Amino acid sequence: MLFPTVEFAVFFVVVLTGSWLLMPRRTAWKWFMIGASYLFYAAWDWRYTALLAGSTIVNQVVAVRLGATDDERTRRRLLAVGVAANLGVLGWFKYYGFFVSSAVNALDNVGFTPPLPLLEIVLPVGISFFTFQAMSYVIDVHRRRVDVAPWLDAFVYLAFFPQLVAGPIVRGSEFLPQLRERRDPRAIPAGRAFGLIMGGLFKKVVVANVLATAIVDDVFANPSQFSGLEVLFGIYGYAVQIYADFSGYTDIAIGVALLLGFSFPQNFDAPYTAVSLRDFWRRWHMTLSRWLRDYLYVPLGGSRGGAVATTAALMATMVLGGLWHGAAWTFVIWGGLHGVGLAVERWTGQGHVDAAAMSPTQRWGRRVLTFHVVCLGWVFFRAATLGDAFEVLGRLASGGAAAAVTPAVLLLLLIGIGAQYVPRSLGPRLERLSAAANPVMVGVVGGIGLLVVDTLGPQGIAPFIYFQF
Amino acid sequence: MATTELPDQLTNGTPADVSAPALAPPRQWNAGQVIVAVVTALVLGALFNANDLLATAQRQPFGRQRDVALALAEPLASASSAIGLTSPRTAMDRALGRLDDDASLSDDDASAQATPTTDPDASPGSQTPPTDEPEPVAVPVRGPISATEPLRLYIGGDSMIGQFGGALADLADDTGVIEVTEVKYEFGSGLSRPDYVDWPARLEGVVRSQSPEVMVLFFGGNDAQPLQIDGVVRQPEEPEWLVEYRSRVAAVMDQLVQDGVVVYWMGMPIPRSETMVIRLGLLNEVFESEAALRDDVHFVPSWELFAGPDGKYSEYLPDRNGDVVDMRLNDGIHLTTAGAYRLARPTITQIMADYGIPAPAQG
Repeated sequence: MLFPTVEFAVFFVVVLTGSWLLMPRRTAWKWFMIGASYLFYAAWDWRYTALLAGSTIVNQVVAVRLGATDDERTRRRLLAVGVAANLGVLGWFKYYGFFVSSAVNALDNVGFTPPLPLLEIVLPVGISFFTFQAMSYVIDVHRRRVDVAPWLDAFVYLAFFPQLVAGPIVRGSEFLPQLRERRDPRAIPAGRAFGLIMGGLFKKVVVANVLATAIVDDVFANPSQFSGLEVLFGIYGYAVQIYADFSGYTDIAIGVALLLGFSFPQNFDAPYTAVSLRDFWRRWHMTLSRWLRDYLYVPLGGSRGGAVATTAALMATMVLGGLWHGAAWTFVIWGGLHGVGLAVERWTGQGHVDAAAMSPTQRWGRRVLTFHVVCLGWVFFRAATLGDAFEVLGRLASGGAAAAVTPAVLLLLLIGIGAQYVPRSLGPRLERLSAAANPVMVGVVGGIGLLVVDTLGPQGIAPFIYFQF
Repeated sequence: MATTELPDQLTNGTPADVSAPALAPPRQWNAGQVIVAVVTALVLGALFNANDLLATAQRQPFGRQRDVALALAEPLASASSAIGLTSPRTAMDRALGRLDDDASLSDDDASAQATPTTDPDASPGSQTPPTDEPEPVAVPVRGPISATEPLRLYIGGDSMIGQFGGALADLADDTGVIEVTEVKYEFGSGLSRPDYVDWPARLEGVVRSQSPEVMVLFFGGNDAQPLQIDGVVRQPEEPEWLVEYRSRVAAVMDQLVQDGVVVYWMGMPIPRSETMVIRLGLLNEVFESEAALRDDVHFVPSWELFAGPDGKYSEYLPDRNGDVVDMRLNDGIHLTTAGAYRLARPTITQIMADYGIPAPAQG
């Protein structure tokens, strides 16, 4: 069930109403929300609700047993079981084919044909997100940073539909305390929520989908048919598309959660205003960045060791972050590129720069440089194979016309990047304006917004890019 | 954890709670006000976009879900049109130049837009082509195929073209003597639903604007859906369905042959779903038998190319280097890049053989 559809609109009205009606009856509310969330997930493939339930049960059993013992050896074993179970699920669904086919090919090259079955495994939508949330829960219980949740709370947490399939990756310490208290039906930050939902719809349906159909998909499918300038704008287009697509989804998710009375962490913060790669990663997919930081980078040693150890930890974190997106060399290169860039910034002391202390020329120069390094990474991220990525890059040097760079494409690029430079104070002002208005008037403005979004977007609804991860 | 343990490369600190803006908090609403605003926005949005909702409902495969959608969308469109709320959308569509080339409906034709049906009196294949008889296209007399006078190739169809089109265009480019005029695909399109994308009309436009000599067409991914024939919904396994679908395929082939275009009609590869195995097998039989009736239409089989040694669907198959790789996307129908090249190679080889184009020098 995709957010920008009639099906979701009907679903949400029913769930929103039912949720607030049932809120005084806590247990009934939890059962209701679990049912609604599983229905939401079942809309893709009902069979995978069993996977979601199984993942919840296994992680909750581990968490409960962790909470029941103070023996550190036992706790470490339980943690290992929990992490292994989660990685096992991810590995089975996301990496089995890649590793087994690689093994078959490697062994075949030395004259041995192993009887390894190449199974046809369908990737469940959102598996990376709910598995990472489950891992954070188990690890945080082990670290005694979060209390063991009651069973029903654990089911609500891991299935809560706004963030179930594409994040943001919400930690137990952020969400579970909100379940302990009754949400106040008189204190809903509606102005903020409506702004996020309408903005997210515009980003996804208009900016991302139009750019995809107008230039990006064609350039990446068949770069040889486009001039260097068209390919360049196709790459810029993808940079804006993936931002608008992913941040649009999480904006809607955060807005929907706010209307239900729950707060989610921010996931994007104007990433293309970054003046360094370090700055970029403070602004891009922030909930994944901090997950990687706290559960991978720090356990790998973080910045506590020497320069070599820190660089190794950094590279491992970024490459594994790349592989989190899928088992392909393109994602390894993407992660590796960012890892090398971050390491270079660290060695040269350029990562800690303060944008406010720079001259305008210096600041803009660094923004342009950072944006283009990020775009280089996006080429590998978007391309189906390494060969395709190099073909796209190779076309940049070619001449020719720029027929595909239409005024609409330029306008959407301008909106997608320019909106990130809008002063931060504008958002809260609009929120206050919206919150002060009559609900019917806000509804009318929302209806007009839906008219504009549906008219300007292309026909059909493309899935969100991050659903595949 | 001490802050000194935290890395400085990655994001620092817990991301801000988005519900806590820096300025004084705006007025907060109660749940009733929220529900009123949400319902108002959705109802108004539905009324504004009622014609688009109706068109979307009409494009759904025939069946109960479509019936329900139509039962809701038709009165909504009528009511919205009656009170003039479809006018803003119509005006915006007109300003964007969309009323001519997509399924958006104007106020006037919202209620008149009929569910696609087959004219019982029409001859086979007469439904989908434009009603106006097109002027014959002059087929230019060409010299030998060369870099300066390349063979003009158009590649189009449904989403199966997505990966395959790029692979075929890439291989065509390598020949140095084939010019790809366009690679065009539309998700969810095909020959079953001309009310969504009217491929016969579109291909006629392509012939006139691009003058391709060869077309590689790939349909079928969305075509195994019910059709409404003489007011009765027919399933793909029913004889009436096959007769109707065959007539549409034949009409497209005849139209292009008449325009002097040589057509390479791609067969669907074996799918994962057993139901789809039956249905796509039927489509392939239609494609192959209709192509066999026309000298300038060539069927390019792909079914067995994507089957394992047991003749069944196989996601993993050896590539050109003998490496076992994933050939199919997650849906069990579409091709990965490796799968696309697996199919594109015999396709371009067949075209090159038919036109006497030598293999490009290895470099």
